[in-house]
Amino acid sequence: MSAQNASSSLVLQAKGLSHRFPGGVAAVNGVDLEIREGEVVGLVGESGSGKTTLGKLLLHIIPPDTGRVAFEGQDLAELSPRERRRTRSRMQMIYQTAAASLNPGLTVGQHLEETVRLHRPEDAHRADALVDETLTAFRLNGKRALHPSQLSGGEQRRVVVARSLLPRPSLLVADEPTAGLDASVKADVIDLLRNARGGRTAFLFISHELDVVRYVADRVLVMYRGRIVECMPAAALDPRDTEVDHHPYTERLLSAAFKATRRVESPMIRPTEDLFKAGCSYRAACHRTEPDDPSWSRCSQHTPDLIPLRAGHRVSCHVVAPSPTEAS
Amino acid sequence: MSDPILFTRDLWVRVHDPNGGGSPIAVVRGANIELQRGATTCLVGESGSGKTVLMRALLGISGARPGVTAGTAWARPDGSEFPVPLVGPRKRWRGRALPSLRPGWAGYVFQHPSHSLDPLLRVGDQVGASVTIAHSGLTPAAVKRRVLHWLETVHLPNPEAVAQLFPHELSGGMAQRVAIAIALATEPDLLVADEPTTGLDWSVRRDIVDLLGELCRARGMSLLLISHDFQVVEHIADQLYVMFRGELVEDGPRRAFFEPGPGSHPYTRELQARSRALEEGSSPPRLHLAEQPTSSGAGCVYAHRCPWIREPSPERSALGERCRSVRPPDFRPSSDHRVRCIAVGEPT
Amino acid sequence: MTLSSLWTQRHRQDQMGPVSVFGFGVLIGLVGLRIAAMFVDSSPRLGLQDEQLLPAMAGPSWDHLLGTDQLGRDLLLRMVDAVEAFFLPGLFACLVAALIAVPTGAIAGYWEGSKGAAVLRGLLTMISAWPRLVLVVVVVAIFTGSVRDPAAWAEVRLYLLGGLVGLSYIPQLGGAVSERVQHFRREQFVEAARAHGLSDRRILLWHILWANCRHLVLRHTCTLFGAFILVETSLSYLGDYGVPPPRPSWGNILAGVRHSVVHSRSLMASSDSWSPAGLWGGVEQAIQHGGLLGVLAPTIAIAVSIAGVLALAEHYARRDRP
Ligand SMILES: Nc1ncnc2c1ncn2[C@@H]1O[C@H](COP(=O)(O)OP(=O)(O)OP(=O)(O)O)[C@@H](O)[C@H]1O
Ligand code: SF4
Ligand code: SF4
Ligand SMILES: [Mg+2]
Repeated sequence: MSAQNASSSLVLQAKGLSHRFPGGVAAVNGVDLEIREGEVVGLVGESGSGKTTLGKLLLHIIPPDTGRVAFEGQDLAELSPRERRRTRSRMQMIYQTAAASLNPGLTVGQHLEETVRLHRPEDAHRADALVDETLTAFRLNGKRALHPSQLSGGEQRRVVVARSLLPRPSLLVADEPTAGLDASVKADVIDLLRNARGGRTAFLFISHELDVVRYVADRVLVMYRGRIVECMPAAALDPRDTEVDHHPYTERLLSAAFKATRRVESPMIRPTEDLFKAGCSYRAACHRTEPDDPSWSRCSQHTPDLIPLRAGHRVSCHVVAPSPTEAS
Repeated sequence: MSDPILFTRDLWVRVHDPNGGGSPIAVVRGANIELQRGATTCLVGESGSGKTVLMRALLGISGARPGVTAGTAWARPDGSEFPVPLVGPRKRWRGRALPSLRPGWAGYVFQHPSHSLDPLLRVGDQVGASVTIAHSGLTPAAVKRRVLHWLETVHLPNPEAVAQLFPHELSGGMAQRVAIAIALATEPDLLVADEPTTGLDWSVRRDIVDLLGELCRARGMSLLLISHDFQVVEHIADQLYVMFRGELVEDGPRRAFFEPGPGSHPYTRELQARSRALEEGSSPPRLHLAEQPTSSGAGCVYAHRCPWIREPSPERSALGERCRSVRPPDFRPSSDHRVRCIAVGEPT
Repeated sequence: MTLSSLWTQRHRQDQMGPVSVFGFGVLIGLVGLRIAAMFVDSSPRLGLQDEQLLPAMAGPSWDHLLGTDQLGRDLLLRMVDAVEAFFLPGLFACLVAALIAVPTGAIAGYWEGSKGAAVLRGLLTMISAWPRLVLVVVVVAIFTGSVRDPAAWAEVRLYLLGGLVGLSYIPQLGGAVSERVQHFRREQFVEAARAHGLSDRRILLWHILWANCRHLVLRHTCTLFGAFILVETSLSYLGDYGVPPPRPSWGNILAGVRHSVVHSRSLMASSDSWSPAGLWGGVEQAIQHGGLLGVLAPTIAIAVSIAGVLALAEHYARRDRP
């Protein structure tokens, strides 16, 4: 939440990350990203826009097709598999589906004990007590001997969060950690995350819930079809604030809040040629331009860059944020 | 005045204790629900509080076979009453042959579209299968016409093309619309949607919620919406039920929840306060989580967490004693509003 | 979802049904008998040196609960002693199968696309294409033919038989393990475990094999043990390649008292079988003088043991998460 001073060290630096699944479209397409110590970066975007894939690229769970990731100054691609496994204690991921990321054949206790033995060898002698402490902290007392299928959705989620926080990571990619939780439990999971390591863990917080993201994050990235189309301070993500300019996709997202003052109707998807070759990937659904507008030729031929609108706020749109060269 | 399409009387659902205890545990305790015709009823509550179990039991969806049930549920799709077979499809009920409900009188939309869609069938065929439930003996051409009609009804662009797709080729929002089209194709009188917007982005969430509301208005259909999302509920609900650990602790019309009034159940307040806090970006109020719920089932289901009986005053701790030992009676602030809480009934 | 999956999933598991109780009962019984067999000596094995030679085919008495066999040896003692013939060799069969099939299947399943896996898979298919049981008998026959004194080598021959039966079961167990590992390898929790920092070795050994395949392996080894009991007793019954008399095996006990079946049947038939009392008299006569128990005891022992072991297999099959 607090403003980060530029001096605090970079935890992660990614440049030009792209990934294409075999036979599919580019799930992530030229993403640059820097995360500082203790910073919470929100990542929003429609379903299938590549948020999860980006998170996995950052942690080198999927190796990127192009681009590099440096974690604490070390290029992850250059590490041997063994060294990379070591670094994993400092970078963790919470998967989107909690139920599927727990082993159905192991109990809650076995999951956590394993983590302690693996990532906190110095505490291995009191592994048992540490697991009990963790279970208490995550309100999972009495669930130690249960299998994941015997837990409710909220409990499964808390186990996953507990497991990823136990190694005290410096970077945590949390993929929709609050999806499908009721308001009470949701706030609870968020608290647990925010208090991790006394606020020194940096997060990539992926979520659909804009209000949660605004509450949790310092900075928000908006992703659309594999690209970061907007980068802004979390406070700018306010449905009721119509002063701030946004990327047309963000505008549509915000206007869909039930509290929003106006609703942006997006046109029915226009048929366009290959959206992934050149031009703005949002042009098929953009309400800021029309095929007969003068701006359309630029939108359909040039991929817009992220252009600063204000301090800490960059947008990639030819109309909302024309680049200085274009404007002249 | 009351014209429910489905109602239950003291419905209990018990399952075997997952911890290996001998006696079954109650996951739904004495639910009395009335779904009014043409209205939108929302069921909110903690994850694991038994919402899905209640919904499945009262619609007799196979696969959800409770260990023991008690109580009754009646459906009135067209004014005459039918007992709902509570434990899956059954031929007889209390010794009588069941007057069977029209197949497809209720439609379901599940939390995740993948739960309602078959990955191996084209969208068109899946909607077609639902169409033939409502109308058997249609010609293939007539089925196809209706399939396209339903795909159009849920505002899918280019229904002809969508009908040819497989579920994995759909985006999340499209898949959920197809799931709704499948549910609608049986021409249900009641649509049940179990967290239909979880995991979808806000713009799709809004579209789906608006679509559900519009369908209910246009077709006079009743909607039971199970949701965690107070924003959705506030937007769409006519009637609300709040569930906590298997018990319906409060129900009432929309105004009882979203306008200031005589008291709400402490759990409802907790939910509201916390979702409002998230919305406004302030720190949510802390929960009292130290105490574990008792398993005995005596007393108020919320007593282990209720902030009211934790305030340091003698009256409040005296109240706490009672909360932990007596099952709170229902209190009715108005004729259509019910709260199961001792403190709301006897303001101090 | 969670609560509803709860009763569908947990309901079936973890409760000891009658099948499990029967299975474990038989297992405990077999272990008990095997231990007893260490202390029991059913010699004089030929029954000839004994001073107080018993009458052959005697009915049950307090001293000899099951009576005697065709050579006047105590049937109960021989029945107990016979457990030695299949118990350890059977376990040996299971051990051979598990030690070879589990690693093979696991590697073939986990590194699915690799060359080594392809080779292993090819081997499994090749073994499974051979007429395995015939081979078992042929190898045992060759062994018997090549040693000078088969009776002295009987013990080795039993273990050889166990090893061969175990080997012949490898394709089945290896295939099942490899299929299971392949299935779990694609599950998200495996990726999550890798992202969590676990090594492939640990994921394979602990997360996949131990947590999710052990019931499968136990189930198959139980089936194999049952199969071995059947093979051993059948070969012993047939004669040449099983347990050589005078050493007892349920199979050769049955073979020895074979003719008494006919005898008991004629005893029963000669009685007035139309009245219940008459029928019972016939049965009693068959037991006392026809050696009916000599037939029934090994038959029931074989049937109950195999059924019990298979019940145990069923017990593990139920616990095995798909
Ligand atoms: N294993 C895979 N193989 C092929 N395509 C994939 C795979 N995983 C993801 N994709 C595709 O990559 C794109 C981005 O997927 P990703 O899961 O990153 O989206 P997301 O933004 O996380 O979506 P959601 O909000 O639904 O979780 C999608 O088009 C998806 O279909
Ligand atoms: S660049 Fe053009 S198409 Fe893309 S968002 Fe901006 S106005 Fe819309
Ligand atoms: S009955 Fe008592 S414990 Fe329950 S909600 Fe009311 S005040 Fe709280
Ligand atoms: Mg995702």
